[in-house]
Amino acid sequence: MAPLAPHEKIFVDSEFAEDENHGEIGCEECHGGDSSEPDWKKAHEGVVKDPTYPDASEVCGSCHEEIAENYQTSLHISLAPKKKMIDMMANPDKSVCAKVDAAREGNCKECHSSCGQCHISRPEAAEGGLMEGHLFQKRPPMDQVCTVCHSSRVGNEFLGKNKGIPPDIHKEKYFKCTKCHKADEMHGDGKDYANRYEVENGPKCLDCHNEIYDAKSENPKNHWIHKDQVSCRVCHSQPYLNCSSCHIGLGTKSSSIDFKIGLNPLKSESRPESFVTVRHIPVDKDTFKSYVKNGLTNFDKLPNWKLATPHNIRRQTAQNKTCNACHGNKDLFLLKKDVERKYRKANKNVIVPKDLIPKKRIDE
Amino acid sequence: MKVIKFAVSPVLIFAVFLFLSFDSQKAWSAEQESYCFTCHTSAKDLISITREIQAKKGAPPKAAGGG
Repeated sequence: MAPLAPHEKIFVDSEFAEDENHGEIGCEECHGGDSSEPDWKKAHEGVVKDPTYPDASEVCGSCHEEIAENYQTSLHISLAPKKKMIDMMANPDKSVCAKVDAAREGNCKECHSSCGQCHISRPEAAEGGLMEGHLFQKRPPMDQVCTVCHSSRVGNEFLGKNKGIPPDIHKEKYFKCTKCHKADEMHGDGKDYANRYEVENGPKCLDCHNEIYDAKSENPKNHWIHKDQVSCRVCHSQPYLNCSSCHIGLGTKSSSIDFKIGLNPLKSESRPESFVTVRHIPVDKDTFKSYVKNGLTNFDKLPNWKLATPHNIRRQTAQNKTCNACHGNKDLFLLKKDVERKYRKANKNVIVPKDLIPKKRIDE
Repeated sequence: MKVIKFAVSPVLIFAVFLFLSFDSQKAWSAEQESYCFTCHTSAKDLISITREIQAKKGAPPKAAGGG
């Protein structure tokens, strides 16, 4: 995505005044400042760049009551799972924990969004700038909003930017993010979720592909055999990015394109599969080292190989070409040897014991 | 009954007048009398102001991409 010139970032299309809803509201009603002051410096005194963050209840909420009501529970705003996970891993010593929290607030919390940073401007985490001259975008444009933050993993996977790996089949069908990730999911529903996979109105493959178990469908037998055993992505994802060793301020040490099947760490009624795709996330014991020593003494409480939903789906993949492309193929599974010794305890619920790898089929 | 009708009509007319004038006031505010709108819809003005700000600030910071 091409960056915007400084003046483009704040340019307002005069057509905005013709917006029958938002165009009739004076600029100062949302942004503050003094619209009757000709001197731009004085006029900008008290101006709020994004009046929808951290609280959108006054500006958006005066009309969009229902959405604003749940605003604080939208994961894009609250980033609540991030805090919960860091708290869980943090040193219980109160003074150390406070420093970890300050580090999280100062670094991780920058990557939030807001009503404005999806529907009016590009997200601040990606340098911001008004989209379409402040004309409200009912559906946030994928290339200017979603994939500027969700870039190195989801964005690159979906768009086919990882060398040698084709894009997601849905991208080739001209899907945008909002085709699957609906407003209800994005806006929050008032519930406080522990992670994004719990969100009740998140997309599920079966929402569209509900015919795969029908006798008349193309491949019902294989879908029935693997039902509740493996996630859709185990068969239909291609290799994806894994990052390691993130240190605040220093970025990730290394990353690699890989594909790993692990045990499902978030098994539940809605996610009953035993095997899922897992991704190494860029968090390690020393993530907050520059702020405080021994910040994450309970690091082992959570895995750093996590349930992942790679966005590079294809009907046919290397592992689903034949039964034995997967069955008995140890390279596909996250084994003990794949996990650094110091992180084995943290990943004990994800690592696949050798005896659980499906046996090679002799009848193939 | 007639007395009530005579009393209600002027009140209704006045209410409609108030509603219309309030509505047009808002549009007028956004488009005509707002220096914000005048300046922010002029690329020329914005270029000169952002150059002025940039000259004071120096180079803009770089953003980092996430997952």
